Amino acid sequence: MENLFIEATSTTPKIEFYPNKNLFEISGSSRPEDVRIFYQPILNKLEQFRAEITNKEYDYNDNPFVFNFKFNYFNSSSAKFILDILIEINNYFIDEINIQVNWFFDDGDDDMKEVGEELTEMLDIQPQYIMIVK
Amino acid sequence: MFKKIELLKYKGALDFEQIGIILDNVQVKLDSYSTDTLVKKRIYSILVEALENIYNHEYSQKENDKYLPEATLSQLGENFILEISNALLNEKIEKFTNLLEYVNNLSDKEINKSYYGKIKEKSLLEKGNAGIGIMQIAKKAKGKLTYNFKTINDKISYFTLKIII
Repeated sequence: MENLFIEATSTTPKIEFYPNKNLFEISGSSRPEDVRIFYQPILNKLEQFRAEITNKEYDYNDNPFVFNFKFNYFNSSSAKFILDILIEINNYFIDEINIQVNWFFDDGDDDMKEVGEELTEMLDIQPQYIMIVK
Repeated sequence: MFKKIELLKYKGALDFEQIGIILDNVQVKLDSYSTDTLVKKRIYSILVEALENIYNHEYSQKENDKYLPEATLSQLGENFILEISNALLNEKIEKFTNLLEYVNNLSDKEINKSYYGKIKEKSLLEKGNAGIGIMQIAKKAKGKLTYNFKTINDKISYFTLKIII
């Protein structure tokens, strides 16, 4: 599958999806004018990639596929789609693909840590919470 | 007696681009403050939701400058006060009143539960986001939200929301 790279703007986060490097990373701020137009293609790509790797014999046992969430801010409309992305990542886990989910938050931003905990509460995946000290 | 420090005073039409300009200006001012990260981020988050609420629900009053959207953010002692106003169709008053009264009658824990409950609903996003923005504001604000509707005519009113952060 081809890489997906979307540069950050003042209203949308940076997306880095490098299947050959076992990395999906989303970083920055999110308050797109139309959340669906921004997030749906990303969700589709994650679904396609999961279908691709579950049909082939990829081995992530030594190097898990890493999903990094490095938001400094997202609005309430984005939250729904970020949850959809987490639900899709949870499907990777259900399909027994070796994954690692990292949820980053700025030192002192307890709200960002809390939202990660709340959004994954009903899922099987358990992110690692990593504080960014500036 | 605390001196009131003004961080934002805006009156004018509000589109997506203008919201970005306002947010950038406020961000620069907040960055120069020694206030802690959590408070700065809460102010920013509440301001986004409040401005987007206007963007989604405002009744555009092109023929009357008096009732253009208005936003002020000021610091008074330890509190930041955001007041935000816009023209609104009278037919939307009941829905907004019900939503604001609903969140004002919830405890912090209940607001949290209600907010994440809405996020986790499978329903498609509708314009206005089914009250999630107001819940987000209530979740991060200090105390209750205060509001009023000033009748302009039989079609529209001027809605003001006051938030303490």
